[in-house]
Amino acid sequence: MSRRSHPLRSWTAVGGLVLLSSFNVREGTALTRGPYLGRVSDSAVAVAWDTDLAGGSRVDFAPEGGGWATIRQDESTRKHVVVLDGLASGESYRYRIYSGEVPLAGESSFRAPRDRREARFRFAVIGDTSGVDVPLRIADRLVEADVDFALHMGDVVYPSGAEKDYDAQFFTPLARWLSHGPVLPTLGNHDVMTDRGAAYLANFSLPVNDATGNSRFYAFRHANALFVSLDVESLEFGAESPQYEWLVRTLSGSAETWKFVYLHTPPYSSAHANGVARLILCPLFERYGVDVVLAGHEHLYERTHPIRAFASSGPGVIYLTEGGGGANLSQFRQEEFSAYVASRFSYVIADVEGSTLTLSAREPDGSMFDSVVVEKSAPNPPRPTPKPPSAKHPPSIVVRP
Amino acid sequence: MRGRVALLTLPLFLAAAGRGSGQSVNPTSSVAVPDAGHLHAEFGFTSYRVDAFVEKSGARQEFPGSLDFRVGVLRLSYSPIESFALGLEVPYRWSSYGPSGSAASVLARGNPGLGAYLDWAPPGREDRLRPAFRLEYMTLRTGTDPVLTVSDGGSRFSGTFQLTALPGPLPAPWRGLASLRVEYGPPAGDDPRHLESSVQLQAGRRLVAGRSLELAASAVAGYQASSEARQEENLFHNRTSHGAFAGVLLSLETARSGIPLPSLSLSLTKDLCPRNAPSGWRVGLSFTRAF
Repeated sequence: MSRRSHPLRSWTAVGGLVLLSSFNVREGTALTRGPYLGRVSDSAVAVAWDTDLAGGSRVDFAPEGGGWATIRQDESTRKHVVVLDGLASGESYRYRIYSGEVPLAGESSFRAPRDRREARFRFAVIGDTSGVDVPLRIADRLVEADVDFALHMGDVVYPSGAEKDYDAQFFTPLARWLSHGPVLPTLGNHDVMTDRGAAYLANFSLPVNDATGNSRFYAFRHANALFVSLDVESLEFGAESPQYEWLVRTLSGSAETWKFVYLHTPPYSSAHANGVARLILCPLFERYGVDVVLAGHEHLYERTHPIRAFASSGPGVIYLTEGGGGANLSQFRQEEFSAYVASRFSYVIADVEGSTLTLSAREPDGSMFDSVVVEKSAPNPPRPTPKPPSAKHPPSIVVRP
Repeated sequence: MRGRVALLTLPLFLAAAGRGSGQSVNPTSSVAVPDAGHLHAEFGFTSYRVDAFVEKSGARQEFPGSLDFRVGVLRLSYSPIESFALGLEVPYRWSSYGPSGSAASVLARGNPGLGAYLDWAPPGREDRLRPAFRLEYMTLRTGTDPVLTVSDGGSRFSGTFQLTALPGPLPAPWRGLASLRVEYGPPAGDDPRHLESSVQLQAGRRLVAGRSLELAASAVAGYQASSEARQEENLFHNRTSHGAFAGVLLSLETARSGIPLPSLSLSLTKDLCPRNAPSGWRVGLSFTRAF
């Protein structure tokens, strides 16, 4: 062969340059944040991303092994949010984002929300995320565990929930998870320090409540479970307040097998409890059959015994604090109502299988240090409890009426 | 004359001394030093109905039910030498909450602890503002979960400075009182130190006077600030709190020169502009007698 370059090699080089340049955004438009996912209703997923220059939005998505669909929004914006609805329950989808017609990032994937016919799913609980190392490792664990979504117990961004700190404190450390599944947070006391949480409301695509028309508090259903996020940091939640009345309607109107409520400051804690929330909200939780109340604020992990009528005896509501997302750990003095408490960085994996719920607390390396199995009683005798995942940490068993 | 002066400093007037270590504000109580060799007994009772907790932002969290705090206090002091008295304080609490529409309710009652105090009223100031001081230490039973308990487990030191306006600088039948109280709770375990300060002012006049009875009415007002929302032996929230209160006080004093006789006082106050603190109405009652 002559020393002149082979035609195929030249065209390959040109093609490579074209391909590379196609990922180099047109006219200097750059991806500045994301993509990251949100959840705007029981069935719809939001794909969000930010660019440095305004432009249209486009998402291509396809179920595994299926054909691609496209949603375009011509509105020119730097903060892109595209809602995907009509997804097949629980299916895994691939997706790509574009600014105009220019792809901005490689292909990612997510799992569609599950409809109420489904009764088996997994979710995660994280809280008070801070720094880089701990959230980074937790994000890896969430992807490995293939959870459907992650609940965040608040204090998303320190020290004061300002927009300027969101990339360093949240979007960058959790990036590997955020493109794969949504984070559904509740407002923390640090989140509302700047403009009453304006950055939080701008950055998260969440359901909107029908009481105040915003996402400071919200609810969604996933498979056979109801999830309710409350704002006890910036709003009234006492009797006759819009949030209280909405909570009564939401809980009483739900027929889901499982009911989870999450709020930032824990009503029961071996560190510092929110006594006001305990007196006002806990009777409601018991009256309407809430199974688990999740919280953060205290930088530790804690699980209470089931509590009813302000006493920890017999069946009741389990209060779980997950605030070990990286902020300085808290001290505690274990109370009588506490079944387990530890000052350690952690996250929680929750597995729902029909009428059985397994909650396991794990360190950022994935090792488990506490677990509990909650079984809903049925007309038939209770099913045998599952084998403990680790002999070193046998789970507690709770049977609920 | 000395007896009459002593009687006039009995709990006719508002003072901060009634607010002992997390106890309810009771404007009917005060620093009172009996004559040397004499005893002074005071029984105080306060009933506090809380209808809401007001956040730092001003957001008002209404309780769906009745939240009540009641405390009875017995104080006994003895004056071994002129102008000084040593005393003991024994409180008893009832705290209850019954959310409407719920079977859940809670009642906590018992003695939260014991207090010891030293009173000092400098002698020989009959025609001027009469100062009095109290130093007190209250030891509280070890608390557990500090929500709806009778003891939050935080023992405290307190100091009270009281100024009573005797007939003299003010035209009779007017009277007045001002007091300042500071309370300190040292750190305990992982609980930080607790600091609280309060001021109270009172101004009133005699309404009716007979041969040995005087009925007086006063307006009372006060303000308090603390390092956390620790009220009524409960820790509602671990953030700073403050608030004011105002109300009225009626006192019935029996006064016969040289003869110490009982006195009765009744007050009604309302919390004003609380921040990170409960809000409600208080009724205070005290009965005192010197022996």
